[in-house]
Amino acid sequence: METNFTERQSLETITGMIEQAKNYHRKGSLASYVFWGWMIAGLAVADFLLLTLVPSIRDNAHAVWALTLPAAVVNIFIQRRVDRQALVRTHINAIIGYIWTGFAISVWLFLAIVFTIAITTKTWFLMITLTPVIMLMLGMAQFATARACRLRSFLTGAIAFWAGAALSAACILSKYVELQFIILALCMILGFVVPAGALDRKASGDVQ
Amino acid sequence: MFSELDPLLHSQLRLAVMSLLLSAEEADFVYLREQTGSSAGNLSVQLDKLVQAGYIEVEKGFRGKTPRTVCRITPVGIAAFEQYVKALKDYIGN
Repeated sequence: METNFTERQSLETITGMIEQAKNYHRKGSLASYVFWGWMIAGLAVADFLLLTLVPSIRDNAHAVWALTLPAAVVNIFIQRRVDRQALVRTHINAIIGYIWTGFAISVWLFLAIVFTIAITTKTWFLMITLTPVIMLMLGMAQFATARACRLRSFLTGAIAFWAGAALSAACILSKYVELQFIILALCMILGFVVPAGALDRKASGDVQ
Repeated sequence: MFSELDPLLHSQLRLAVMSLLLSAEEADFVYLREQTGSSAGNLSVQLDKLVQAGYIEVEKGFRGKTPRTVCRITPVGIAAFEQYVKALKDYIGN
């Protein structure tokens, strides 16, 4: 036994290391976040521009969202690269991974349900719920992520998504329906790109 | 009556490594070295002692062309750590 290592120092070592592990972040580990943030924001703006500036293709403007499928494939490669470079896989990392996997499954199922109902009943009314409901789900996943890794910027993102869901619902009920896509774009930047960038800047100051 | 503090864990570097591994599913040697601020040589020696006790397992492999050492805490290690913390609480509480 090391004679100069007291019980109190021992306790300090344990709490210090656990705290250090909780706050550890490596630059670039949120590349998927940044990718999806810009991707969805870009698609939302494209949808908005097509709806407002190109009336001739108005009915097909939403087809831009089909690009999320190849984007999902690109994201697999980005995430694989991040995982290969990771020096540690914490339990919190794993939990956050499960949260976002659950989110992705929920979104795809929700889309499948809405489209199935729309096609079989020839009622397109449910389509107007897409943006607010997906933003509510984003808010929930972001909130769980923020609480798991105790990051205030992610909590701000969750609040932005919830507020965005309410605002986009208000847009749908008003005559400014297309504005929901601008709100979605802003929320994606506020909720994904900004917090990930802030965490990367913090990591740049840490030992890599 | 206090239970004896596990001499293997009652060492600053080994305890730091065990605390870090307890928070992680797996951790790279480089991560442990960065977080503990220890030298590679000293860390290697201490990891070997923990492996011999069955507290951790070490997997050596490659990431691309770079050699990589990944460490994980074992159930035996978790039990030993929990016992150590319990004994520590008794010492500090009294």
